[in-house]
Amino acid sequence: MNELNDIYANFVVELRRGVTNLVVLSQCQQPTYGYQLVKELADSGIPLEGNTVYPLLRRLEDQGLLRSDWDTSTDKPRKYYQITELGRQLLAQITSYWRESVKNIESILEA
Amino acid sequence: MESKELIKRYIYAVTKHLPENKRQDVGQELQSLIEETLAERSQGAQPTDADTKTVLMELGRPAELAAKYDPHAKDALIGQPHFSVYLRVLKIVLLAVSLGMAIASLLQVITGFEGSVFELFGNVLSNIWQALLGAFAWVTVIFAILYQKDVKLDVEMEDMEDLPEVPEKRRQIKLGEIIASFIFTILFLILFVVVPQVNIPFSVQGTDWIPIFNPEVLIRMRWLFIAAAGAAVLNQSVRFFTRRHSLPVFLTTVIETVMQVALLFTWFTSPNVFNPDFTAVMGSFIPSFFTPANWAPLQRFPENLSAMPLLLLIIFGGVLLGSLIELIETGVKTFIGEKP
Repeated sequence: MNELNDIYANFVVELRRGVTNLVVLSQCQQPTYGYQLVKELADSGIPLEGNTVYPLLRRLEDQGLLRSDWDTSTDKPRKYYQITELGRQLLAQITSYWRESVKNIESILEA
Repeated sequence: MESKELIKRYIYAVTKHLPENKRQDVGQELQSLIEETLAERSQGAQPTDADTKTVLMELGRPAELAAKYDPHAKDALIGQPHFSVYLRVLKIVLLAVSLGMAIASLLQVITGFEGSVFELFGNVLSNIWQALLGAFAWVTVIFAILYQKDVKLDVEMEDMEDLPEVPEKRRQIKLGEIIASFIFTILFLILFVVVPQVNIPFSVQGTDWIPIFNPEVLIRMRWLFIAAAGAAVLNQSVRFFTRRHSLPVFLTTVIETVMQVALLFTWFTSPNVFNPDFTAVMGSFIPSFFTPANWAPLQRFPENLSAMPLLLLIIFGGVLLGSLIELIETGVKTFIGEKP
């Protein structure tokens, strides 16, 4: 039984790996910061750990899909991320790819 | 430990794994995220040290978190695709070195080892062990550099169009041939460069084992021997990586042959190429065959060649012919296709 659980956990990790990028990118249309993003996603039923989201934001920034600004106007400085034009284009493509895939996978799972 | 100090240490433990230019920014961001999480958890009250520990535990081990920030960092000394080539090369090199050292040690033993059987075995085993460690280190260091520097080993795989055609049977090179010639090269290096005082041991009817060739000449010419062996290894490497007769294989075979012929001429035309003791022993069986005087004609090649004894001419010519035949064979397999 333990073995099945292990395989299941592994399977989920593999499945989520690519989807996480799409989820995070899609939630950066408005400026947002790491902790806020984690909370919002959890509220939407997508629990992602901070140790996944924080590094991912930075990697997406390195790829030019997000840009960032430090907001130091309050006593709590925060680093805000927002999608770039390149990010928008990619998001549109990935979103339609995702919808198409889900539709097709659903139909073969039903069969 | 105090909460503030704990956070400071955690952030340091993460950022020290990151590239210099990212450390400060990632550190500040982590700091703000951790503080925010803590503030939320403790609902405005002063966060306890236990809260801090929980939040940090959720972020996970510092090295693992750092790795997520820097996914392109190489986390292996030698990774794929280099690793599978490394394993293949390592196996062959270790096999060749073991065999070469075993044979060389055996010859050294024959030529007179003083001590007990145990000492002798210990000596042989420790020699082989030393050589294996050295070979392992070299192969590993070379492949680690190739991997870390992203040197491509499978250039032919860049584009599907560039995939090599399946070679005709005749053009294929058998792995066994490559390994055999590699082992031979290693043995050659060990005998003539590493232990020139042993080279090829010889004994006749219970006399002491003596080297056939003059060690002094071998020591003087050792760079030429190393260069010839290097050319051979180069050729074998190209054969190993392409596994089919092609222009690079042919060209490196030409280089190897040229080096062999140069070595052969330089070596056999030097005075006293044979061990004087050996020529003395031989002289009592086949008078005057191996004396320096008999080699002298080769030094004014080719006009005095006819003055050489037939037997020596056959030995010398035989070796030369062997190299040339191999070169021609490679040329034919490279440039002339299979009959339909």
